[in-house]
Amino acid sequence: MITKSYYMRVEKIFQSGMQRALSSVRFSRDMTRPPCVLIRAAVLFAVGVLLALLLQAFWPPSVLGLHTTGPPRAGPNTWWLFPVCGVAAAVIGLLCPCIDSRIGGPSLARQEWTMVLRCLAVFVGIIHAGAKIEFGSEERLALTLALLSLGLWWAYDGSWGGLGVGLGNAGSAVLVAHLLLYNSTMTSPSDLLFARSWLPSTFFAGGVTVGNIGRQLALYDWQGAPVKMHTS
Amino acid sequence: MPFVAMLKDKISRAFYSHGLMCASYPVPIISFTTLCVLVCCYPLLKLPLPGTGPLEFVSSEKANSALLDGIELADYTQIPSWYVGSPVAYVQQVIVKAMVSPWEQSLIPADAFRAPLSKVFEVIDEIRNHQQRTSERSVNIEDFCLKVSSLLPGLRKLQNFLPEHSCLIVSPANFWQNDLSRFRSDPDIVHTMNQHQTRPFQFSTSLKDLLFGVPPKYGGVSQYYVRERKRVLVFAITIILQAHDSQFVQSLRKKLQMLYPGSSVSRGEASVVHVHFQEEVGIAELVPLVTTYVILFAYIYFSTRKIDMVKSKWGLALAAVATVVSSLLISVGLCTLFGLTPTLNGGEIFPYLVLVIGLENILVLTKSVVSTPVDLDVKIRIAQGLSNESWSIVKTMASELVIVLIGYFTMVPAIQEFCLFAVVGIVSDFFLQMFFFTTVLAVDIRRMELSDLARRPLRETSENLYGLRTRTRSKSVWNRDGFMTFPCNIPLASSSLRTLRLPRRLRVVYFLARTRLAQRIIMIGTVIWIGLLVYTDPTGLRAYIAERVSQRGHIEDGDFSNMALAGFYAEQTDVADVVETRDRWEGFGRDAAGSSRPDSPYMRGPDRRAEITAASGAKRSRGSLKVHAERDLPKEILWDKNDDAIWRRLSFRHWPTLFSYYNVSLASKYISILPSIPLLVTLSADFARSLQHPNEVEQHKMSILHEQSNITEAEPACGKTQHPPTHGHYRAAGLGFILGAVLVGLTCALYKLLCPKDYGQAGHLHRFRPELPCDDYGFAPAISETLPIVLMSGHPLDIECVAANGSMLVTCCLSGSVMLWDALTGELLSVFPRQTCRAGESTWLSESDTTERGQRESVESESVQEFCHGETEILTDFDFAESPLNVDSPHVSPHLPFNFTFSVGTTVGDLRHQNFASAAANNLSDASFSSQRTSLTHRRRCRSPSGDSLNFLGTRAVPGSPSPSGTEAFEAGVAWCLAMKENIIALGCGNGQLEVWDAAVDGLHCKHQESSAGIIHLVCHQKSIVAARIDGMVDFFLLENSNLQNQTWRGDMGSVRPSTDISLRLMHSVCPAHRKPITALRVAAGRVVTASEDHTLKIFKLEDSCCLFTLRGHQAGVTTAYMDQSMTLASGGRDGIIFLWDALTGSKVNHMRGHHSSILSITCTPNYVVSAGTDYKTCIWDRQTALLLYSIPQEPGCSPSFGVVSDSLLVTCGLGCLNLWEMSYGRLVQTVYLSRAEEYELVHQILVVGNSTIACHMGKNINLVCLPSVLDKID
Repeated sequence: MITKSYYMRVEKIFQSGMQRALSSVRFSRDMTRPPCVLIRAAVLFAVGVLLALLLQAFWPPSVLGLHTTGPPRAGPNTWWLFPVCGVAAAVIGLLCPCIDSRIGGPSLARQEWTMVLRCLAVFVGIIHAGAKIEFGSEERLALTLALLSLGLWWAYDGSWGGLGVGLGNAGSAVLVAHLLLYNSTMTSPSDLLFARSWLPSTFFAGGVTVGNIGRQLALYDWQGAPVKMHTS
Repeated sequence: MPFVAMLKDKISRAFYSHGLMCASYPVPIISFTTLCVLVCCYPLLKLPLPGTGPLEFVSSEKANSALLDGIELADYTQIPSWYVGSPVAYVQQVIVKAMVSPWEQSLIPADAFRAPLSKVFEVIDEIRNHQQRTSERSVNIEDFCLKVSSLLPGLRKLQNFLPEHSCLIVSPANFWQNDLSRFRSDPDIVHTMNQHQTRPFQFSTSLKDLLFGVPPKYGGVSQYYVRERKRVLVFAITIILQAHDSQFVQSLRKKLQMLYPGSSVSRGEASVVHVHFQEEVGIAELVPLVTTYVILFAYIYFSTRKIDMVKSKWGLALAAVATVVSSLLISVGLCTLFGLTPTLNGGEIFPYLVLVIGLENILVLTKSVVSTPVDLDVKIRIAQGLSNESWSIVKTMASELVIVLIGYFTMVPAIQEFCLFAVVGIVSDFFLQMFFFTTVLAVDIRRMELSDLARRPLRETSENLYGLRTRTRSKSVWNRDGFMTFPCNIPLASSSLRTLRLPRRLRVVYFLARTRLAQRIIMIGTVIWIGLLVYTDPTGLRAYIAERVSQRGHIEDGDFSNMALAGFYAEQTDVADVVETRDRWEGFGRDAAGSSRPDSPYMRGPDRRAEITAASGAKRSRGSLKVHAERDLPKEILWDKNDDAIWRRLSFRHWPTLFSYYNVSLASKYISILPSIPLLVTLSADFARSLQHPNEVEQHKMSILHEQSNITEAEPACGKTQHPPTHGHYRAAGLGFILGAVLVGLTCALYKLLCPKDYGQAGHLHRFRPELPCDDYGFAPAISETLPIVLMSGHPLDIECVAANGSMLVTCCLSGSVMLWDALTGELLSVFPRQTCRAGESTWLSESDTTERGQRESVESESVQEFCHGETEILTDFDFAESPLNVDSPHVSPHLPFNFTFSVGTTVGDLRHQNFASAAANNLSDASFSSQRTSLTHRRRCRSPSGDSLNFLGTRAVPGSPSPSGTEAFEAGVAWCLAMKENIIALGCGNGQLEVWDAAVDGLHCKHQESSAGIIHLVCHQKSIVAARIDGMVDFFLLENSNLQNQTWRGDMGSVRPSTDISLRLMHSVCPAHRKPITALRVAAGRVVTASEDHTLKIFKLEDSCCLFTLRGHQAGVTTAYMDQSMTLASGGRDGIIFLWDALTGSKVNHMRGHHSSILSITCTPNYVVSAGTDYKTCIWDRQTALLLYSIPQEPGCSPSFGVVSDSLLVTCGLGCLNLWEMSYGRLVQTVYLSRAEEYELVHQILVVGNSTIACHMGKNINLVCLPSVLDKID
């Protein structure tokens, strides 16, 4: 009997908790910051996963070290790349507005969806170019892509925060790739070249792009980051 | 720096003159640019159209061998660019045509295939064993053929049929693994051949097609061969060669033709055909394409969304996109013209080019042009807009060019090409923007101005207005639910927003109903179904039609089953339909096989077929098996001219499919198809008989027996009776009918569920019906329930200002008399003796007053005119005020109305001013034309009130003498504004005087006059009074009372004299708070907000009058502001934009766009923001999301004033009535008529008193409307 009543109580508590959670979800529009941040994070996560999928679609499987003759899909042990990319995107996207508030972000004129979309398109173009265009050598490829990514940053971001975030992203991506290489998760002669030529600039551009998206989303969160315009 | 400034100046000048030119000659310029685009695009015609079909190039065999031998050909012109290098493979086909001839009665149908097919083994053996002896050595086919490795891992089931690790030679023999004994022991060869026939569409290649190497309809083998007329079997042995040695091929040809002597046909010049396959579009290639296009469309969407304030948004968006696209076309065209052949895939780089070029410039241009002053000429506006943005446009273009040029120096050919396109594209885009888009914009702006003029008729005569009114009245009908179908309906902001607050279930249902989703899905489904029907042709409709056309009417009646069978006949007559009919019967065959597989798989199939055959009409089917076969049998096999190119009719995917099985891609490569080797084989009947399989013979006998028995059964009966086999059809038809009925029933049920019962009846209110809470209670507001109380006030002139606290209402008219009313009952409580009528003054209206008023007007006109450019607005606003004037005083002298219109026009921003102006004009006219009467009236009025009020109050006040201070000859200024808080009434005068009265004792507390600038806004807050003066000064006063005992209120019935202890102290004076006139003044939560024409708002602290924030953000003068206790500040500007601010932090929270012209009043409730503008609409916004929920159009001629009752009910003015709207649903709840139909008066202003009473002042009268009934229901 005791156990039963205990269970019932627990159940009741659980239910009420669920209801509270549900109601909080339902009225998240009226709530203040935390749900907004969560929603932003979710959106950014989705963006990151999509971008990772896009990368995979662009890069031929031979580059990714998947030398199976089967259908050109992800190998069995690369699925974790997507959530990792998603989490990275969420972190970057949430970080960027915070950094901006500290050290000053790009000018407000750049914070429009059209600019963000242009940035995204240029990013896709960079991936596209890297995947499709025949470059003479790996050095040239790396140089061109780096140039293009820097151009992207200059044209669509232009803030030191964005540069830092992009560089950090690229650096961590290269680090992870090298770790993977040394742990022989991906072993092929082309992998090292790939890690040194494509990864940095691609992830730099990706960081800048996701940062831009994050900033744009943060504008919607009007309670969090209002545009201050007052003098006295 | 001076150089830059000079450059800027020059550029803006150039743009200015260019804008003038564009706006002046729109048509020539547009046609000129169109011509330019067309000319530049002309070279594009030479480019090949993109497509994935294979390309062919024919070279004679000799030329080909010559080329291979290294001899250069002189004629290069015809050689396509892809014809470089060696082909992937050479295809040599040996096409065998074989038949059994002469056909004998004793042969069974299967013999027609079995014997010819057996020849394939022979031929293959010959080919494999062929040795060619050259001088050095002997070579055989193994030396030339293409050796293939294993099949792709996904194709395990084809492993037995396609060669692996050997020469790629495919033939029908592969079905039996090239083993003759296997073939002989196969009881049903047709089944074996068709077992992999699974793909339903013709353009895909099945295994059978691959092995036969000829188009299916030439092969002569269909799954249902019994009735097949064509007994010539055609198949090909396809040899894929890696190297081409013409000698070897020739020797093979000779040898084969020697073996089969009938095949030596005279042939034309043999030619090698090279087939080039283009890059295929796979999913992997589609992903980037789709992504980029999605981004492109999102970009275009977000860009064009920002185009605003133009006549045709879509037109401009289209023009913008057209500009970008045609600039790209120009770029490609020019590049082609100058010799650059595009090598990049156009579809792939197109989105990138668009995004690089961008639509920003266009948007910037549009915005800049739109934000120029409206009252200017279109040409000037365009020119100004262009020159304003000239520098930024040039700068952007230059930086883009620099970026692209940097890209050019990457020295990667593809990127260089892209950059070249981009550079030319950017330049041509600039050209098009300047010429094409600017001109289109000019045309659009001109159209907008024209339409604005047309939409708002300038002078609507009062008769028209009245006619409209009566019409409106007659049209407003009460339907049975008691809702008014008022013509003033709400066009809802967005359908998705409207249902924001509904239960989810209703939302889903409404969504379904609104979008007609179910109907559309059904419609689309039907269309797809019909399309599939036509495509797959299951009833043989096509064949039926073909047969009817060929005048062979076998059909006795138009029965469905017969129709189905007609196709079967047609199969015999129309060879072209073999494929479709085969597909058709396949289904039946599969059914039959599925049902009868356990007992005897190859017995049942033919049996059933024979049944069907027999059923197809008794007369026709008699003996058809043999007769048919003999009748159409060709006597001899001939090699047709068309047969040479038989491979051309293969599916274009044929060769890629074959090669892809071995992971060889033909994309952007080519293969060479060598002239085929024809072999014609005639077989004797004996040979055929020797190959017969015992099972087949048995089957045949059984089927013949069955057929005969069927005929004997069928003959006694009439030909039209039901045939047993058609039962299947009827069963199917019956099932179909039942299914259809069920579907119809389901749809009906769904319809009943989803749609309201009286769907289709007039009135949009039906849709709202279920969501109303009141509906459940049978809510029917009666018109008589809320009759307004008319306070036939004693005001001699129009009421100038009204103020209220919870229970009392103060009015003040132009004559200066102030009256106090009970807001609930409408009783006149007292009249303040503000005007002391001094003897010897014939008229109260002194000269000084007139001049003072004139001065005020001139000040306002000067200040406001700078900002108010909208002439149309002014004139339409003039409409409101003109009509009552015409009614009231038709005999106004010509010079007075002129003055009047001027003053109204210039004070358009503020409703109160306008009222004042109308009243003032009224006053003036009265003064000048009937001054005698007026003065008399006034004198009387001035005398009587004291007595009246005393009578009413029952208190013993001093008769005839208002107050001690009043008796002093104090100069009463014209009241400009009024404020009331508890018992304190503050009155601001035109001469800068501030009077404080006590409502309790009808006495003047004190007055204050330091400045001569008139007070235009006044608010009371607790002990403070804030006054805004016309010169932009804000004064903060404090009410001080030293003696608290004297603070007795009306409820105490004390007859205390107004305590002179209450004094007014000027605490602080902010001078000047604003450079331009102050348009609004609000106090809440210890903050004072002033809005001004100088585009800013200021927030002051009430205690120490310190300016906390200056809010900047409005692009035009701020016309109104509202602040509530939560420190949320809403402000509306002359440009129609509403801003929400946080008064605590001074930060902008949100902004809302929706009004097209000045906003006149604004109010916030906890959930909504309500605004009304001069564009005749009242908008309800969501306060949190700043989304427009509803916009309620106003009837023209009504005041845009509104009130909000108990946070949920919106009161707007109608023609002689008040409309009550429920804010949460945007629904018209009730209409209250203020007076009889004959005597309309326009409502000037609405004031909400307390929680349920609305005071609306109209001319000289005040109407009180109590709304308890509605509020009960709403709450």
